[in-house]
Amino acid sequence: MENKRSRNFSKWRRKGTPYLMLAPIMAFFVVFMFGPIIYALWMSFWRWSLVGGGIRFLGFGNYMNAISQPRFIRSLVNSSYYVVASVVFAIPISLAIAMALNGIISRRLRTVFTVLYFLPVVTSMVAASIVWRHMYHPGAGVINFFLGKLGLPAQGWTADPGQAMLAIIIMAIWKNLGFNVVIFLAALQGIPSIFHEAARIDGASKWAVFRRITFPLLQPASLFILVTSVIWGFQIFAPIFLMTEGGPGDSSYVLGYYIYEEAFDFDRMGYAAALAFVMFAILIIVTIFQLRVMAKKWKY
Amino acid sequence: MLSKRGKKPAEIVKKSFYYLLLSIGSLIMVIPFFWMILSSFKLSTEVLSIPMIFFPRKFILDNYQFVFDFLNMGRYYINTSIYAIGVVFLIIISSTWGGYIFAKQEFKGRDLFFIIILSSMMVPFMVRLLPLFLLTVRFRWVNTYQGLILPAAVDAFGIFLMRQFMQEIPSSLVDAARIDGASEVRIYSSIVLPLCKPAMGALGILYFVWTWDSFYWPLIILSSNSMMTLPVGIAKLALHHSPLYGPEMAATTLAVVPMVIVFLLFQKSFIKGITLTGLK
Repeated sequence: MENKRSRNFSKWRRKGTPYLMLAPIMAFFVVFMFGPIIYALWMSFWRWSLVGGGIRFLGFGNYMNAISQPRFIRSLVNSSYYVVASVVFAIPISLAIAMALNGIISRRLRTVFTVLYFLPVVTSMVAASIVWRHMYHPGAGVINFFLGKLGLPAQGWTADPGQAMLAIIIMAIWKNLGFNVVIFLAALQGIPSIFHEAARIDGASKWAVFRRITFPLLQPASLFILVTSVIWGFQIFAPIFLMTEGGPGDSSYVLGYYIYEEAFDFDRMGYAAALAFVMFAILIIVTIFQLRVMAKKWKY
Repeated sequence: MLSKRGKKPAEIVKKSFYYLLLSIGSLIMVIPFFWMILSSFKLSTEVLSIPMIFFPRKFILDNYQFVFDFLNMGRYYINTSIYAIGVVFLIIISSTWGGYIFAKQEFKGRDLFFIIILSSMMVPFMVRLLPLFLLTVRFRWVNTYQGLILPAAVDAFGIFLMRQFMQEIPSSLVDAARIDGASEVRIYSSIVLPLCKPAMGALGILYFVWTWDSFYWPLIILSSNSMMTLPVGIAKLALHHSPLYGPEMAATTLAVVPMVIVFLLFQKSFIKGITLTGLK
């Protein structure tokens, strides 16, 4: 009797231990992650201000209101532009650099180059934004100076409504390129050289080797870069905050900046929460789509 | 030398093309740094003079003097260090603990819990920003170190990274200790942790730099100048109503240089940390 009880106890203890160990971590996630997410969803149905006005239930009012705001549409378009451009330009450039790095023989030079490409990644976005703001200066900036040296006309960059987003995208590509390069390089170095040699012996062209061997084997790395680029891209904030403040006009508003402004400058917390949920919904759809499509292609 | 190895001319052309491409590319990568450092020694009028001048006419230290005298730069360094070290310390403990659970414990629902935790990586910070802000107000943590550090104490990415690494540790080691009657805490601290030192180093460096550079959360919950971190402090300077170009460049240089040094020193484990994640 006594024996059975203690056996039961030790069995219970053995089975229960992992849950007990997990409890503090899950508690943290509930308090700082999942709790706030649900609370934000709740907030998004209210008119919610901290200083004056109090709260009032609106149902889907905040969401309806967002759709009718030109500034919201502008932010959505700009955020999408930013994400698409940073994927379409940054991934091929970083792959090309990684392949060149993989192609050179001197290991020491490869390290030196990798470090140089990686320097902007360890630089804070705030510092980068401040420096690039001056570099983009139409009259006195170093970028127009070099364009002039190359015989090209000076550009307005952040002062030009048509170019402000482009200027921010170029800066962000510079800032994040090294991250992608390092991941692609590691993936390239993980491909056994025997694959390429075998294809070479079989008489495959260079392009065929890239298309049929290198590129498919880079799928996991590409997927990782794609997913992280989209998730981070939608949250871009510091360069807008410091370089353009959404301007000139509304030309460089992005979701991250719009949310910040609505919440902390205009005290429209409920509305800002609704905006954040729109961003979240888009991210979920895009990410699941990426994982589905890419993961399918993966099984060649 | 080259002919001895039997290189074809085409091969040499290809390799020199690589070097050319890489050199031009890396030049573009470092120009902003040169510009920043050179400008930090210029008079404010020189930073934005038309036509542009690349090198200062005279190297002056006034900008550095200014940021230390009027900006509380020393205090920003201390605050940023406390913030970064605090986060790294908690992240290393929580990530290794979580990694150990998900790599070496068998229990019902393990994969489900793991997926729930991983899915949080997809959540934009802005979604939980407002409730988190209200929570810090409620706890009276606004403008405090705990308000800065605690929300970042556990992170799915760190748990994921450590789990990846710990799966490589042979389970027989852990099982043997269990049979000998060692407690889970004991196994974690005296068997698993010592084996994870390289991964902990990589994890720590990654989070140190990320935290040092992080901006959004500190911007929102820090209100007094004496609590500000470097990114928040220099952002306030940059948004000052009358522009102070020279000091801005000195302040950004001072904020960037420590991370560049940290990166150069720990370059290997830094890059290992990043590549550990994307490829498995």
